Amino acid sequence: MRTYKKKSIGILLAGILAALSVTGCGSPKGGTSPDSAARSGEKVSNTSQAMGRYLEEELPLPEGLDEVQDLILLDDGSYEIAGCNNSTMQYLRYKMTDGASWTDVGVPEAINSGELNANGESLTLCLAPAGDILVTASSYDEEQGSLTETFTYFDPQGQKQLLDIQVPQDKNPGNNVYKARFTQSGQLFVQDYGRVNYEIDKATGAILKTYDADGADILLSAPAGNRWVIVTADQVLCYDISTGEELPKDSVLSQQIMERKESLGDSSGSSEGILFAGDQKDGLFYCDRRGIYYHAAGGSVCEQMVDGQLVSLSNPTTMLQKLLKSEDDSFLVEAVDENMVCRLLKYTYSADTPAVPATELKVYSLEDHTFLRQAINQFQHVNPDIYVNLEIGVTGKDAVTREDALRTLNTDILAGNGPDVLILDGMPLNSYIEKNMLLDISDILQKIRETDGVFENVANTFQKDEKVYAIPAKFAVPIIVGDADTAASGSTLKAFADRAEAMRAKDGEKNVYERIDEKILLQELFAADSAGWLQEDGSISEVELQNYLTQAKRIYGTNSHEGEDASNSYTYDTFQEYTSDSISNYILDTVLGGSQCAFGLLSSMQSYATVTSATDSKPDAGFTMGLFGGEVNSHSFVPSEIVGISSTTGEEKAARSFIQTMLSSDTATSGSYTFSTNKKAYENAKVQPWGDDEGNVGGYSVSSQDGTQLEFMIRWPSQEHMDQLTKMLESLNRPCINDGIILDIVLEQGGAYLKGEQSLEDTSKTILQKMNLYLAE
Amino acid sequence: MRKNRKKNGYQGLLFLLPSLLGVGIFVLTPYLDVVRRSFTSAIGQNFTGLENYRKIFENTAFQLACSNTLRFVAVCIPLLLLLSLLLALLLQRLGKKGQWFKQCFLFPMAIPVASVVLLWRILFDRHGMVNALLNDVGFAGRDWMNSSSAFGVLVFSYIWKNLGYDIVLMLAGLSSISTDIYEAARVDGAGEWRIFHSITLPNLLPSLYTITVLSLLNSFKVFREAYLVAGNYPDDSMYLLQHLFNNWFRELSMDKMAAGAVVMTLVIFLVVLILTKTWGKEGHGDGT
Repeated sequence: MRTYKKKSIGILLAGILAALSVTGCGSPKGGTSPDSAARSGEKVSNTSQAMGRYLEEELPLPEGLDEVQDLILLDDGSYEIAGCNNSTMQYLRYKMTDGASWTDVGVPEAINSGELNANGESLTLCLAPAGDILVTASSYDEEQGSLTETFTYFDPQGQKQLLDIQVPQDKNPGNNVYKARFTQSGQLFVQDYGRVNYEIDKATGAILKTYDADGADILLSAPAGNRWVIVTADQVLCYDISTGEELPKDSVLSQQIMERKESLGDSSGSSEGILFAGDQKDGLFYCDRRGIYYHAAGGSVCEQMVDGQLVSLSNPTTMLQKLLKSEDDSFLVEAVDENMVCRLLKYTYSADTPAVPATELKVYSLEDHTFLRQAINQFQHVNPDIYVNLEIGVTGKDAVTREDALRTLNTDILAGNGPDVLILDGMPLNSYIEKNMLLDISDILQKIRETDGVFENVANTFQKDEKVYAIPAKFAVPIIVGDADTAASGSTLKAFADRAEAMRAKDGEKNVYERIDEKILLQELFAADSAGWLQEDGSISEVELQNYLTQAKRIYGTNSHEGEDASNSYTYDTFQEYTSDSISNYILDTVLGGSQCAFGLLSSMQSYATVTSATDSKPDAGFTMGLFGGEVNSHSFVPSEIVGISSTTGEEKAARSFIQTMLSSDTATSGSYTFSTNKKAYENAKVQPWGDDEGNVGGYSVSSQDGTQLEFMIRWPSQEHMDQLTKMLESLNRPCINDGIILDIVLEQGGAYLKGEQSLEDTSKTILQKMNLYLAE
Repeated sequence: MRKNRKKNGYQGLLFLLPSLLGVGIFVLTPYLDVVRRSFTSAIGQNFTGLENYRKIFENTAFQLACSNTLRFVAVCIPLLLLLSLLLALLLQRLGKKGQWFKQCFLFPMAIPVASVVLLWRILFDRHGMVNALLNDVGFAGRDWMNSSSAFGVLVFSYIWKNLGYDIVLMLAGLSSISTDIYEAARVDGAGEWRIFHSITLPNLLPSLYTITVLSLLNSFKVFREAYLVAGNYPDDSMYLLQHLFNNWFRELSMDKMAAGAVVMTLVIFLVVLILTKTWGKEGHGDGT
């Protein structure tokens, strides 16, 4: 009996140990996109397909309406839109009752008769659900430096009345009304420059109630049904607009909104960041790039209604303006694209459509790219049956480094869960090519070549044995801007170092280039010079490396570094920053007289506009632009947004289609006009996107070092400038070293050399030792 | 009697089973996969035979890493054993008075790796305390971690960290030797050296075997400090096998990494086997 008892206890203990040893097994699948984790219900297995989701449809704008000023849901459930025709300067109002077309309902006669803007004021229309309109006439007195606003209220019958709306000036002299809005119940609210909101009496213009969040810093505010929502830096406040009383705090809603720091950061003049709308049941809808969500009053969850990843909401160039929710449970989002063109996005529920597209395409990038998100958005729009799951390796929100991210990626690849498409910036691309990790995509390149044309030298950067394993979708080019001798000296680093020393000797007071710390200088020069470092056997040339370091030191020495604080020095944190435009920042210092020349990466048409405007602004100085670095007759470029398809992909067809979309002229054109490998996209980017007929597209108004105010207008490049640029880009033929490991080694050691902490021999010896070890592996 | 022994053995096996299962699933099975990958391409799709082994033996980085690792082991292990033995003998002589010293030697083991790295930086950085002291007395400083001195720093760090542990093991081994033998030897007129050579060392061999194997395995852990201080590509003198494997993993060179791991396993296995045959045989490594 005793033996039996002992045996039973023994077996029981052994069983417990066995159970404990396997309970730690299994880890959550790593690598899911943070955005995809926000989708309600998570991923549903393909074997039990959930049905029903919101589909996006873009509604046309009314004909003749160039600038949309307001969009509302009328009491009868139809949409009404108002704005201006920029050509005729007529104000227009339309109504949509059938969900498809607009009918002109006109505006009160006084608006277009010139009565309200006799002195050339600009008018802004604000619509109410019952049909009333508030017109704000604004004029800016340049002499006084003040803004004058008059408010005219038209009731639903068209009766006009002037309102004397005055916002408090005590805390903020010169305060004015920033915008006006009507709630769904017809109450009029105005917001001042401090984002404080006031309910206004429509009869007199007097302030009825003030919504100031008790003085907290307000990030954004909006009406949502019968509530007024205010988002501050650390919480969300809701007020009952019928009584003005603050509603009980909703911690769930606050937490959800506070987590959207990137969306809150989007709040600016042209975007709301997060949109709100209400429903009759006191629930709240909110919308940002992640999608449209619903939170029931007092509820413990926020349900995702529309997944932003599957629709245009996730497009980073889409600026959200307004959210409307209809009684039929459809949504209408007013947004503005990168060309400041209004888009009306309607979301209607379809019960027959799968909740999640059946096909999933995994895209992996070490860093987040705006262009990549645009490409995904474009692709999803055309392929609604494919879900693109974007995974970002280094989000910057945690302590994951580039190397940690690469190890995680490699683990996923080995486990068979690797991505289908890779954005190879900052990755060991050559290693992947050697290991047959990437598929040949020369057929995709050929298609793009035939339809749109490509910059051949850029497109074939990663060609090996007649096969193309990766294609850079974008590229940047190192340039130098200065007088003719300086621009010509950019042909080699040595020539520029000679010129820089001569400039410094001539003008000892002024820096040669904008003050940047030694590592940034090395990065800029690396982009210009590293193309010629690799020898045929794959090792780094000691002669080229020593030349680079020597010239970098000479160039570093031509600037004053007094007062530089190492703890405040800025370096590029991400590989993307290293390949992004820098010349447009540096050139301003030169224009303002802080430096004698500028050099850096040029990667977009907007940046080129800044550069040409700068050179044109100094005709006496003979300012011009030239390619920087490399050798004579051989010019460097920096490839970026490098795409490839993993050889372990299970969705090759979808992956190829995605890459084709990414490289297409439509996708490549949109966004920030960065130089695209696709020639047609490059040509499209030459078209002036905004501004006036004289070519003015923007400007800067800054104080120079002696305190005088300087105006620097940016004009779109002329045809001559465009031709010069095209010729320059077509001459590019040497990609710089695109390896983050090599760059890190150079910066670590080179920085010490530039500061005089070690000799050239020690520095080059250490760099070569590390680099050759890396290459030998 | 036999039946009882069988029953006890059966129960013992049951208690061991969970652990064995765990080791089997999480250690042995993955290792078998490593062996498999050493004969395939990087992502395991194509069989390549001995090509990976040929590649690693021809690879200069692997050659450097192997030579550095062997050099490190050849320098550190004997030095560590000798120092720990001498200090253990001294502490044994001191008896209770040596207790405080024992704590001091154990203290480095408790210091986290990050703190050790910080200490290295404070001491051996280009702008560190060692260079500051050298400058004060008129000598030029050097970049310790980016020169051949890095190897010395690594050895120093390893011995400093592991000395206490080995001293404790040595003391345990020394205390297991019966004092009667020493008394008998002294009565017979044996001198200190004779006692040490003929009694202490032979009886200590099984402990030495255990300590050597543990020290050998601990020597690979020095990679943590080396990596945190000097990164992926330190000075050639301290570029170890783990650096290479770490970099190969980042580059997805799983084929070479697997081959290198198999080679390393065989070498360690061989070393342990030799030790077992020579030192471990005496009392079967349990001090008896």
